[in-house]
Amino acid sequence: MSRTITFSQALNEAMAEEMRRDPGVFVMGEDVRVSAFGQTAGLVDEFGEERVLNTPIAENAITGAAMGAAMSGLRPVLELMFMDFTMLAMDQLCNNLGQWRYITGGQYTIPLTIRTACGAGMRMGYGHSQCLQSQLIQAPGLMIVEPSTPYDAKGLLKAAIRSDDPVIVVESKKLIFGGVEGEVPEEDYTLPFGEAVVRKEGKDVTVAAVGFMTYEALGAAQALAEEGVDVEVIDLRSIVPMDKETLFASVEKTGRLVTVEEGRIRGGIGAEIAALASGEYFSLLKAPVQRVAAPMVPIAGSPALEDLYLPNKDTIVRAVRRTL
Amino acid sequence: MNGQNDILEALYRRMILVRFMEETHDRLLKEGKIQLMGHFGTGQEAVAVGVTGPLRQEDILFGTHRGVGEFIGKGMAPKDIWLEYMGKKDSPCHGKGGLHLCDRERNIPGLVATLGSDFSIAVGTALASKMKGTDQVTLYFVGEGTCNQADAHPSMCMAALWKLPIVFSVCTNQFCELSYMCDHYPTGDVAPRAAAYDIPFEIVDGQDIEKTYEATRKAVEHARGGNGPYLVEYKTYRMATHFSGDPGTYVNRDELEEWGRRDPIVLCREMLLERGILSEEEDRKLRDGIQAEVDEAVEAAFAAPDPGIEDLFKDVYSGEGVIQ
Amino acid sequence: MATEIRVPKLGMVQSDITVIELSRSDGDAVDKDEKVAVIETAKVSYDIYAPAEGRIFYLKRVKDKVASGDLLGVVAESREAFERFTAGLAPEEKKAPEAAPAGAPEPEEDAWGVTLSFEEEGPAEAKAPARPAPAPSPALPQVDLEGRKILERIPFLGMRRAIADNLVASLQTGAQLTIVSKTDMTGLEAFRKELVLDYPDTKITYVDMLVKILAFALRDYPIVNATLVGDEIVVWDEVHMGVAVALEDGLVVPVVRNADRKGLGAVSREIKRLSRKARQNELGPDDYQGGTFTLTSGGKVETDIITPIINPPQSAILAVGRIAPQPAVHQGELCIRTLTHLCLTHDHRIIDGVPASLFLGRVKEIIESPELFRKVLR
Repeated sequence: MSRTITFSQALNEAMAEEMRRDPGVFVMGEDVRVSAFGQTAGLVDEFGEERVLNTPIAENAITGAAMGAAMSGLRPVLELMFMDFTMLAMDQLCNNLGQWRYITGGQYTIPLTIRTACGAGMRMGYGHSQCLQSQLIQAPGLMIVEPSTPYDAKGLLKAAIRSDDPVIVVESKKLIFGGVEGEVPEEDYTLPFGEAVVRKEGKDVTVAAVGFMTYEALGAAQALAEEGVDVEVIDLRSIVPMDKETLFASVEKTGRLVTVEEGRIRGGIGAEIAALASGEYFSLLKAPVQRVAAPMVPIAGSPALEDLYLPNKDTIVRAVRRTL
Repeated sequence: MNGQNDILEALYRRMILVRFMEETHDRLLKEGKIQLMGHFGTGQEAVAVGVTGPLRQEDILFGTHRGVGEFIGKGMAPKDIWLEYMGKKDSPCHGKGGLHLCDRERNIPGLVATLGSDFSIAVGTALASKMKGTDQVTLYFVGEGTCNQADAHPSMCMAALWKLPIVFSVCTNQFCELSYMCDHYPTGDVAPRAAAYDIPFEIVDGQDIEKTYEATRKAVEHARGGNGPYLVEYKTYRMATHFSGDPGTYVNRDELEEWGRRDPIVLCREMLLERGILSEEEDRKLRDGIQAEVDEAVEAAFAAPDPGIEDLFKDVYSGEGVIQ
Repeated sequence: MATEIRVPKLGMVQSDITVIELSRSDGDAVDKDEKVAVIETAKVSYDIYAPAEGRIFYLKRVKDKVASGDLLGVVAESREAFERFTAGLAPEEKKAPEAAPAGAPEPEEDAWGVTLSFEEEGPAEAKAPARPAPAPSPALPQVDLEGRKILERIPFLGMRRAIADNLVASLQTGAQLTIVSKTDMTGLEAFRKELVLDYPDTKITYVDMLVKILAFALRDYPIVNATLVGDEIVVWDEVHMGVAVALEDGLVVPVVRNADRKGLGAVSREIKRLSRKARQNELGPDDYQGGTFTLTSGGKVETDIITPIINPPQSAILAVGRIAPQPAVHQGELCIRTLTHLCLTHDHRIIDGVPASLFLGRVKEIIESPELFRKVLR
């Protein structure tokens, strides 16, 4: 049986169910008992303060503490409230977290899940709005997933908690605050990492989108359909590992590729995909790969400037046209 | 520690082993036989061996990059250390640790490269011990230079806030890398910082093995008894320079000589001779035996195989292979 | 109220589907989405699930041949509801009698008479070749089972039967001959070890490399990449490489599309994905349709020379024998080299001996030349 719940509820259920299933699972982070955005709201009532641990405001140190607990065999779910704040924990994220297993020759595993909320459009200004996924893809040993629906959010978060490797689950604030709803089964399920999903089939151009941008890509596909352009929209879901098979099976069909992400363009996810495309699928391409991403500027406080900064349906439509 | 002659003799033996291991490392470097740079802890042996002396096998140790003292103190085998230092396939980390020693069997979870990163990781292992209800203690061994890392503060804060079984052992050796401590600190002591978090602390003579052992034993008992963290600062002197090859032009020679007269190994030897626990003859035999043990371990490590390409991509993730 | 269970549309395969398992008995209670039957095509087997909760009643038997759209059974509230439902059915949709009358041979049971349909095997543009009528089967000696000790009786159905039919049809319709070239793999063996650093996320195998090399050589000799369609030889402008995957109880040939246009890493990952799907019985029609040439390898077996049978409607197939150190003459010296045998079967109706030999020579030349294989394998 399935029912309709919000993105935030899906995340909440994933944590609650995993905490019920495994006593080693616990939630920690700044204000997780009250929960500023609501993903962990109410967990303290069922699981108590011991397993829903409020931490000081010290991102690098709480990431280290979560990592230490994970290497001792627990399965912490750490919240780093805004993705901008992950930059305060870069030492742990990039120097230690994903590398510990390797440098200890597999003696220690780090089953740590880190949840963080990304994205602009909330009028929160420069340091509470960024999508910094591409800052993290350079770090070895991490997995990075970004769901776009309640179903994916629950399945991926549960899989992250059960994974023996460190996983970063990126939650778009637009999906949390926008109250996005979707069908979610009541039964237990997880989703595998590294599996993209085709949200709309098409034969002319492949648009590979990340997270919330999938919705903008679907909007663009609808607009382009009126011009007779049949767009295939792929929701990557998993950034590391990336589902190269699904992505390039689509490119093989269409010969045209547009990448869409909310983060900035330089060295972004799109750059990585374009490099893959030119390295191994060069002669399948009928046109150069186009990237849709944010420009290399900070996010301004002005709503007018913020809207101009963000990639959207129209910028995607223009990018698709450049491939035709 | 009166009447515990066996313990004193065992600690003495360990201190000599540490000194000989590091002298051998220095010699191998000068002969060009080993490539890994050394950061030696000559003169600090009573601290490294004294703080690890009271620990049980299941207690968790985070050590420093300065020498092998605390690792020998926690029971790591000389051969394993050489295998790791030489990057051999059969080392505990399969050649991946290098300077960063790790030995899961002895509950040494590894050594960070970005000094102070592990302040909070140690808090995490202590948190896990508390949550799991074990009576393990985490001992976080750190130099005074590293205590200026920002994470020292939230780490002590969390340890006190959650009443964790952790001992912070600060080895004040008068030098922070290539500078004197007074270039880094407005105060002569580090320990009073603990008072800011309501953590009990003590400052002890780091040259006297009986004092370092006894102070740590008390601190460990305090932590194991569920009374929360404890901080001990040990005053010692780094008779080596920062790294092998550092000529130490900044070192005050008179001061070095003065501290040399209180070499912890010399002091301990006098105690053992005075009390009739050890004779001159027995001491010579002991030293010859330890040097032979070190030489044998070095030979065995040299003869061991290097890792190969099959190891390059192993242990990045818990599953097979690498994610590109 | 009764809910029908029909045989689903299985991509290109619309007939030659066999019921191989009926998971429950007539009248059993079933849950929605519970597995109720297994059907099998030439390529794969599919589980059939109950579309609703209720009692299951089957209208087909195990070993029945069915086609897409056929009524397999019904989930009904009760036996009465089922009987009401069947009352309205056409006679042919009702359950067949328990056993076929003795002595009345079913046409499908004729071991040599069944022809496989290949109409949709070729790339989409292909039109069905006019199939020659099956040759009459030679009279086979009767086997009397009476009093014989039998270890096992393996059903000659489903995939097993399809493989057999396919191979017989292939041999009956083409003029097949096999040529063999001994080839020195020493350089390629060393190069493969180098590649470990370049492709850490996918282990490059000989098969991966051979797919690329064959695809490259097929571009030089396009006639080897062709299909006979009616009174025309259609030469393809695309290389879709079938790669034989041995299963525990059979063989499937998934297809790496545009193998000439993909990088080595992409080809390798795709072969691994297809093999995984094959082993899990999850290959879809898109995964095995439309091959233009096939590579098969002896794998780890100790076989040196193979005479592979062409996978119609293709016109050639290459098998790789055992790859192992063997005595060889290299640069005028007798020494030990890593050798293999490349065995090319071609349909002489389409490919003459000379182009076939030239093609095989080209493959050998690439494999033996570091300069060439470094260019091809990127």
